[in-house]
Amino acid sequence: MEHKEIDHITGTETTGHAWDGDLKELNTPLPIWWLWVLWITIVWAIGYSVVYQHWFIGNKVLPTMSEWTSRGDVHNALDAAKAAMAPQFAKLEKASLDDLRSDAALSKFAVKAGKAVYGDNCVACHGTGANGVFPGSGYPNLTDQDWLYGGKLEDIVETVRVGIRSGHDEERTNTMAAYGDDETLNAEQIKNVSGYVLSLSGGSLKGADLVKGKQIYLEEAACNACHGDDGKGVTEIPGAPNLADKIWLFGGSAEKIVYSITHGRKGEMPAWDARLTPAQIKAVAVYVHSRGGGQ
Amino acid sequence: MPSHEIFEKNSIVLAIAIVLVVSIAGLVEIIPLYFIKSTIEKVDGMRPYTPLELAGRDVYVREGCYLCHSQMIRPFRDEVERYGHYSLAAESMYDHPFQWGSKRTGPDLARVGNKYSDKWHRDHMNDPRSIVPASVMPGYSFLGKTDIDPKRYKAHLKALNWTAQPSGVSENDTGAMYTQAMIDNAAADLAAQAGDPDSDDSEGLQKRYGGKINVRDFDGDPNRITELDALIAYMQMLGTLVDFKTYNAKANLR
Repeated sequence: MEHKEIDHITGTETTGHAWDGDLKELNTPLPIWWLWVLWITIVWAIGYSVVYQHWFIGNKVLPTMSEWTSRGDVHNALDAAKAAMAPQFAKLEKASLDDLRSDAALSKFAVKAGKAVYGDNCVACHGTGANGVFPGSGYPNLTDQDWLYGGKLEDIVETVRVGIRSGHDEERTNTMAAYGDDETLNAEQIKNVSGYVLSLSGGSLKGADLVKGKQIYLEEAACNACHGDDGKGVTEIPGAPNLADKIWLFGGSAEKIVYSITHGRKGEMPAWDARLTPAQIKAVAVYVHSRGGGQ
Repeated sequence: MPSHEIFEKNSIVLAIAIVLVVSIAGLVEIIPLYFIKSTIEKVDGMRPYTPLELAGRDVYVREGCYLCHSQMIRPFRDEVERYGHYSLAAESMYDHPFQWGSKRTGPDLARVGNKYSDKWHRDHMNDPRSIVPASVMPGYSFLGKTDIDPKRYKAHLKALNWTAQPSGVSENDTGAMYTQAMIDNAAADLAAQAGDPDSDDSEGLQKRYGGKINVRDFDGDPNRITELDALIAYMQMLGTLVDFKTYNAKANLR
């Protein structure tokens, strides 16, 4: 049976087996370099296992030869990055907001650091350009001059730190009552006062009685307590928007204004003091302030 | 040369040999994990999911969120700077099954808790492109219209206990996820966390699960408990439980 011979056509040796009497197979083994790669990977695996892998005796874990871990690696990378930026961040940490206004180099660093923080955390609501993405959606544009809780650096730092209706102990909040749901005003009155509010910024609502609307604004609903007699807001009361311009956080159509007065509005923003360091909060406030809307 | 003849001529012998060879990898890599405790880090703050969060997690699993969102911040500098501390094994200790995922069409969600407002989540679930213009996420507006039956969750808690501790529940048994009190109050706890105005159980809920619980109306409709309440409650908790101020990273590198 075992009978090796040279095949006449190819000149190759056969394996020596014969099936069904005369069926033979050419002996064409794997290339020698391929076999070497196989042996090298096996040797490599043994070496790798000895250097990096934990071995066990029963349930006792033996230490590895190498100290390297992927977690150690990321801590090293983070520490190195932190060390590289440490001088500037230390400066930023200590700097008062007045220092930031006067020190151009530090302010430039804060804008860059703040942009990174903004990109990771703020974009989802305020948009990549800080312009609020969709006007009237309830997420404010940070590049305009309307600031519910103040547009000075100090105000922005505080808003970022504690948030709005965030559950933080010092959260910012305001009160826009639901005049319709509370039955303070009826539908007719809401229509009239909506028409009056729209007229402050040059708009109009068909069928609204502006004289009655103004009376409701000043007396029955006392909107002026927060929004001011002229609709421009009262500076001592944070969170009360200017109604006399054309910037509307929750939409400036007649329909949206009627909705706001009927059901009230409760804006929300998370508090960031658990997620960001004080220096990062300062930096992001400087960045937001630099977008054009800061006061 | 040793002969292969015995393997080539006996299929049973060949099958047994295959099983033996393939088992070696399992024996070496998997079995030790059953015996070592050091694979789970020592952390403060982990607790089982509240019934409402569990209901939200069920929605998350049912809708296949894991197909596009991972819950696994890998130990790389870029991920840690974007999402926060890399994920720990301990953070998945109550996950049956875990939702680590393997694909990111959308961002990682392991630490999305408390990052955005409830209103953002509501708007985003109803119509993702009303908030993120370039998003390819489908809308899930039906969640806010689908009620949850709080009574169902008693059985869910029991079933989860079974996965962790087949022999049942006892207060002193650290292997059990849920205590008997948690199971008995599942329906009331679920309603209380969703800000049900008729519920007066929120203190009991805080006491049973620890203080770090978001109790409020999540979906903007205080009169109903919907799947949107549950999903937002779940997401607002993700990644917020472990207290990293007391976590010793250097002691848990491996």
